[in-house]
Amino acid sequence: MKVSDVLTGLFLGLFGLAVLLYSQTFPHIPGQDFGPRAFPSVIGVGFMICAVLLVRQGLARHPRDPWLKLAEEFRSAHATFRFWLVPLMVVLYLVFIDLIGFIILSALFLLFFFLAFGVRSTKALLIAIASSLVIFYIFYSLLHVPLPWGVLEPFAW
Amino acid sequence: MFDILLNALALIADPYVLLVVLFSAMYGLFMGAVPGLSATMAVALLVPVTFFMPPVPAIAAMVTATAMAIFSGDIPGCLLRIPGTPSSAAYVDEAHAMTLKGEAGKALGAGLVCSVLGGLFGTLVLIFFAPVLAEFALDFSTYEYFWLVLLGLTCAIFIASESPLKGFVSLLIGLFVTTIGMNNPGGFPRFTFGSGDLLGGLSLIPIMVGMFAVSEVLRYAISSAKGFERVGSNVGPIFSGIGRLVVKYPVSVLRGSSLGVVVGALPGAGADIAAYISYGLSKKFSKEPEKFGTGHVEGIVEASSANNASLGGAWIPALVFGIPGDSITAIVIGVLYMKNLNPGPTIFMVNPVPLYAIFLIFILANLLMLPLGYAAIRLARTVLSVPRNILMPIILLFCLVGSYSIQNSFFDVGVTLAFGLIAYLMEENGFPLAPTILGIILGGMLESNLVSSLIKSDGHLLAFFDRPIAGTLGVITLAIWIIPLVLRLIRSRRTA
Repeated sequence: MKVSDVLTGLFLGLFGLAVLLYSQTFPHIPGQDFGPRAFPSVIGVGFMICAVLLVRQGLARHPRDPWLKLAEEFRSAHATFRFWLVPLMVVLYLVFIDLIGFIILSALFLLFFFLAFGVRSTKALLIAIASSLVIFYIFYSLLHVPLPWGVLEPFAW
Repeated sequence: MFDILLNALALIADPYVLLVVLFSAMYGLFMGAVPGLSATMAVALLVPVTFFMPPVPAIAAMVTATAMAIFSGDIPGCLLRIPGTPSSAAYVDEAHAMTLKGEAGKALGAGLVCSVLGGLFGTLVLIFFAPVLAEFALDFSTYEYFWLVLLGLTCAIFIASESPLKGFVSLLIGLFVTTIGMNNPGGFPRFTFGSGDLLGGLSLIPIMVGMFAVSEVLRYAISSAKGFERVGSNVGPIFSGIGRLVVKYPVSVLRGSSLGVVVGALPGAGADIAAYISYGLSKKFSKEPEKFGTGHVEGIVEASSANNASLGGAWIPALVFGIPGDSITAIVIGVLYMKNLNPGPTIFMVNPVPLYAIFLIFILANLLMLPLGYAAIRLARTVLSVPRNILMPIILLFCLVGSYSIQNSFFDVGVTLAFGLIAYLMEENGFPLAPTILGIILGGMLESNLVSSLIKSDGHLLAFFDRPIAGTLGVITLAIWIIPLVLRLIRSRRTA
């Protein structure tokens, strides 16, 4: 997605202002002039300066550019679907990981992507299961990361 | 000194360490050779695996993997005209033109040998220069550190970005990230909005995995690319005539390596920028510049020395000041802290043995590159036929598990996803990632040195210039900011 300098600038300007204002609510350390609010305030002002320069540059160089432009690739519905699949699947993964457990959920996760990316279904299923087991073995058994078992809890080792 | 080296040698003569080096070498060669998987990404994904290792093998794995990945990025660049990592992008057309002339073996052989030479040169400079610099830096106070950090960040903006304005925005994003949480002079929770997960701030590794790995998966998902074209016939002899090449272009090797070390040591600029600059220099100083672009090996010799030399160079400020020279050492610094090898001028006194062990690993990795790199070139056809539609989802899953495993926190996985999306959006719109990373690493240091300097001096800004070194650093930093502005003003006056 291409965002014009003007829109980026407006957004950053507002963000900088918010940071600056919110920083003023941080407490003052008695007897000292420089506490937790100094640095974020500088950053907020920095954002606002950049915002002004970006807007000016955007208006000077590309005055007719649309504020938002979809990249060429997003014109294809299939590609757009594949793109949004990534954040969507990660969020679903986080929601269900404790309930379903690592092994099954990871296999499903991979299977979905393989199919969306055009891998043949039997091959996709086999590789999904194998990879999920291998990664589980590496992280759970070798590296002692407490990955959740979920529904497979009775089989936990 | 001698007994330190002996102890260091004993540390790496351990079969476990050597095995780690061998595996990470193969891993690095693979990650570098597959387009879309970069050296930085290779290191970020290594962190969770090395998390449970002792310090020396953990760092050894990263050193080895990066050296290999920077070389093997040349392979698809030469054979398919797709750079395997950004560091090979500078001379990809040249190398491919050689392939079309049937000289693929010569191009890759030159790249391999010069990578080794450049890598060794960078290592030697690191070994001899870093301790000297460290001794010099021993009596630096908060003023010097403040200017040093600011100078580093300035470099990242003006050298590493096409548009300094966008580089500056990118830096501010990084600095802002470091203000989240309680790690500040007042110990007050900032920008946490009552969330317990944010109290400790955002951690570096999940951010890096997101910015360098998840963003790449997103880019793959949106591109409709299925696979690569098949690699053509045999690459031909690899090492024949290489000796003569190095003898013919000794100046190129030396100039490329020296430039690589310097660019590597500058914060924010890494192997990719080193390769671009030295390819350009090579053309400028060549006796036959008209041959460049038609499959002429000279530029490849210089640029591939430079990109590998920059790796060692980047370690110099990282070890001595804790200021990363490139995005790879940014991750390494995080790992050094985790392993109680805190960077700083005293590191050579407190922890000399593991440190020299790491230096020895540098040398070992570069020597190992010759046989393993040769094998990688021979196996290029197999490596490049790995289907990316299977590889990318597995990498995504690996990112999730990896960022979870650092603190066993699913919150970190969310951070990874968020920064993957942010990095994708930033790169699409021409905002460089390196300044953000640098900002995240250095934000805390900048703030604490700024605030304690201000408190010490009672708010007098002139105190920042009172000490000789601080004053010099300060003037240089300010000059980099002011001179371009003045020049622009003069130019606009003239045209008006």
